[in-house]
This record gives sequence, structure tokens and C-alpha cells, in this order.
Amino acid sequence: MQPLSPADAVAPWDANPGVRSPWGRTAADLLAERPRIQPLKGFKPVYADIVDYIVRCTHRIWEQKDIGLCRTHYGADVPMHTLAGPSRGVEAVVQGTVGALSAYPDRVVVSEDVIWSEDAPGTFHSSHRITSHSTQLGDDGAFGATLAPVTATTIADCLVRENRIVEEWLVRDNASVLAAMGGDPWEVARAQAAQDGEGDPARHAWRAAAIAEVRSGPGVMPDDAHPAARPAAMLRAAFGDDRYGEAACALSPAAEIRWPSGRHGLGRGYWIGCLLQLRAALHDVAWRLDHHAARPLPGGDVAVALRWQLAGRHGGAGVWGPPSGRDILIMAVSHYRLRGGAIIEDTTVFDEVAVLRQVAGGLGA
Amino acid sequence: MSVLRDLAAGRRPHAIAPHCRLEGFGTEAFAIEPIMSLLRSTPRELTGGTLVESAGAAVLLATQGRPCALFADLNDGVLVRLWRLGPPLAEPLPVRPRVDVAVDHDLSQLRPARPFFDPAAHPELHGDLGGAIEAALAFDLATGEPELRRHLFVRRAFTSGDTDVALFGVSILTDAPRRRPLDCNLLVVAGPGAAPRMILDHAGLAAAQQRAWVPRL
Repeated sequence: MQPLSPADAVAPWDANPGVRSPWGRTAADLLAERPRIQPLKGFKPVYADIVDYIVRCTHRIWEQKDIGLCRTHYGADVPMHTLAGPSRGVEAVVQGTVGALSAYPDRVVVSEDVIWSEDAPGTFHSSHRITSHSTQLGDDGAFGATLAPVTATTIADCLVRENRIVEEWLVRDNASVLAAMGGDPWEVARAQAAQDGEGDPARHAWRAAAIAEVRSGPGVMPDDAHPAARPAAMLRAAFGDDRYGEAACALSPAAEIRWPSGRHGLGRGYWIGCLLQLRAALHDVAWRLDHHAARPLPGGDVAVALRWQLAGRHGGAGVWGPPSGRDILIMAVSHYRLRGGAIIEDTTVFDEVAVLRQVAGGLGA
Repeated sequence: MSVLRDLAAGRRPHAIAPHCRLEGFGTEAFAIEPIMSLLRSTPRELTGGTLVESAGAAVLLATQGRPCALFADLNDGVLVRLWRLGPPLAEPLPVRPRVDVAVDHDLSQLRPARPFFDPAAHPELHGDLGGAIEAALAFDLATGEPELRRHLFVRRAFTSGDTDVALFGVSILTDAPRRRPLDCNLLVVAGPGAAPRMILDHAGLAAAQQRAWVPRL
């Protein structure tokens, strides 16, 4: 399918102000059923708006355990993109959900934000930041039942049409999950890389294709008037031009930064430090913006979502150990909170275990 | 602000966002059950405390015992974020693994001694926080180690009546043959006619001192 561009969006980013972010609302408020307030052609009547669709169907599937609803909420042939590789089809979604709930039965799936756009009439793109908490009471096949409390942040970007998710991009902070269970990310990554070396290598062809796509150009940048323009320019100035100081001026001086694997700090210098860790390890980098969206938040704040990819050769020592020389791909989603045009919060999520897996020789040539 | 008093008394507040986080005790708790569990570890330290509040924030301050406080972000009366400041637990919590990040906060050899502070990020603040900033810069963290550098980040600030409340992130680099970065939070409540009240996140500082520095996954 031809990718849609938010530049083609059918409505301004701040249209439909009644469609509210889940941020700052109680669970009872979020889960109360309401009449439809937004045109949603082909959606089930229970959903009031696109945010309600995302929050409520997640609740029904994961918390109420009506996993079979995936069959009416996903396209039959839905592609699901993760940094560990794509999957295809709704039955893979069903099986993955069953497996996760078998190991983590009390998983509560908390919607921190849903940042969405209507990119074509009736076609929505949602960027859903979820932090789930659960207890690993079942055996997931890797660690046994650790009985550990696990908190995990995920961002699910979904293309949604007529009540069905027709394409999904999923990023998860898996290194933090492993840390909660006492797992060693390198041990897991090396085992996965060893398995990747077996069987048909063609199944990993997606990664080379994705790296080639990243190297083909910077993607579609937002219009200057769009709230996503400044964060997008910030990432491009940093990863594209190595102008970190200039880039960081988009951040409020005391901005709060959350990046994967427990990185949490304050200020422009901290943000620069996060990027330099990646950039020091990756040589000959290319950065690409794949999607952007923005929505109003209470108090005049604005939420921005950027989905981006970074490709580079692992040529430098540092955060991922000695250089492997491998081509590395990162798929990330950043959620920003803007106040007065400046970024006051940056929550960026990617799967750093899948990065180690590539460093260790996995996910194809 | 009954929701903060409910929490202080060990009662589950009804007006709390499911994504509420508590930063304190040298860790971070996400969602109401882990938050309640942490707060139960120091029962009644804030019972009967003094409340200072605005529309978007509130702080409950202990009136007896060791300095202690609970700072809250609010959205239309709903708790969305919490910070606990005060003494550490008798048994420190396990240190959470994380990738440390090598940082230069100053971006200049001039290293200007100013806080990282944008008043526009704090719409309920009336003033420049001058007294609170001065007090925070001078506050003795009592780490037992000399400081080479100190940086202050104004994380939250508001004015209630004639009182300014500021939650600072404090980042120091110790002055030793092997320098160590340490981070913690510091609450300053500055009113007229009295010295500013300072409440340090001792548990956070202790956790920072306990943690090994590992800028690697």
C-alpha cells in the first residue's frame, strides 16, 4: 500500500478538540461509554472517537481477555513491524497476545497518550504510548515464572480504517523488561542471533530493505506551521548534520528526557548525551522520518509523535561494546510534550535488545 | 486537596490518573498499586501536614519529624505525577539497572552558574524564584564529598499566595580523583519573613551514591 503522508491529512492537527487525550484522566473516565462524537465510518458503535477506539479495544483485548476481538479489530493480512522483524496476519496477533497473557495474566495496559491524525478520509494514524504493568506469573519459555513485577513502555503506531488496524509499527523498551526479570540483554541477544543464523536467511531480507529505505532520504518533514516541525528539525539537525547544540535549542532548558533502557535525565546536555551514545557507536548514519502527528493536551500543551529510523555502521566502541562493523537499524518513536513551542518532555522508545541482536550478528546479513 | 491527604493516610485516592508515577525512595513507581506500596513503607510521615497548592500542583509538607514532602502534578484535580522527598528507607530498595549517559550540561567552558529554568514552562509561577534558587545553590547536600560542579534544573514551580514552591533536579559532579555524577531532587518552599524551607530527596541521593556508573548496555 502507498504510504500516506500527514501532509495529506483531511483536517488540521487540532481539529475535533472534543476528542481528548487519555493523559490526565482517571481510568473510570476513560472507560465510561459515551455516544459517538466523531465521524467513524465502519467502526463499531461502542467507540465514541478514535482515541476511545484505541484505548477501549486495548482494554477489551488485554484486560478483559477478549483476545478474539483481534479478528474484528485487525486486518486479516495485517503487517506488524518491529525491530526484531515483521509478522503478518491477524492470527499472529492473536497468538502473540495469548502467549503474553499466559505469562503475564494481570497485565494492566495503561494508555499514557494517543496522538493521532486522520491522514485520508476515514483513515487514521494513531501513536499509542502504553506503559503496562504486570507480574510474570506464567512461564514465558525464556525465564520461567520469575514472579517479577514488570513495567514496560511500548508505543504502537497503527493505521486504522473501518474498525480495523491494517498496519502496525511496534516499539518496546525490551531492555528494561529484561532488567526487571533479572535477564542479561547480551545473553538474550546472542541466543537470538544464533537462532537467526539458522534456516532460510531470506526471512531477514526486510532489514536490508529497511536500511536501504532509510538511506534513500529523510522522509516527509512536517510543514513549518505544524507543531511537529520543530522536534523533527531537531532530530534532523542532530542525526543529519551533527549540530547537536543547535538541535537541542528546541528543548526547554530543564526538559525531562526518557530514553530506553532506563535512561532518564534533565536538560539539553542530557538529550545530547543520549544522541551521542548512538552516534558514537554508529558511523555513516542516515536518519528518516516516517510519520508525524500532533494533538492538543490540557492547559494549552501540545503532544507530538514522530516515528523515525536510524541506520549506520557499528564502527565505534561505546554503549554497545566493541564495534562489530555491522549495519544497524533502529526503529524508534518519540513522543514530545510542547509548552509554548518548546519541548518540555521527550519520551523515546526503541528496542535496544534488538539492536544488540544485530550487533551480535543476528537478523540477517 | 484531599487526594494528597488520602495518599498520606494510606487511602487509595479516587482522582488519580492510571499513568501516575511516583519518583522517590530512590526509585520510580508506576500506577496506583506500586505507589501505595511505596508510600506504605513510611506510614503517617505526612499525616496532618501543611498543604500548599495551586490549580495545577500541590505539595504536602510534614509539620513534625524529619523534613518530608509529597509534591503532586494535577490535571483538573486528578493526580498525574508525584515526587516524594525526605529521609531514606531503613532498608534501601534495590538499584534499578539503567544505561548511564555521559553529559555536559553547560555546553560552554564559561560554565555559567545559572539554573536551567524557563519561566514560560511554569505558568503558575509569579516571579523569578530568586530566593529559592539562591537557597538551592547554597544547600549542603552532605554527600561527604566536595563538589566540582552543581547544576540546578527547575522541574516544577508555582506560587500560592505569597509562597513560591520549586522542585529542583540537582546534578553534581564530585571533586575527587574519580569524579562521580550524582542526581537527586530538592524541594524549596520560600515564603516571606522566614528562611526558605528545604527538603532533600535523601533516598534518591543515597541511591545515586550506591549505583555504579555504567554508560553501556
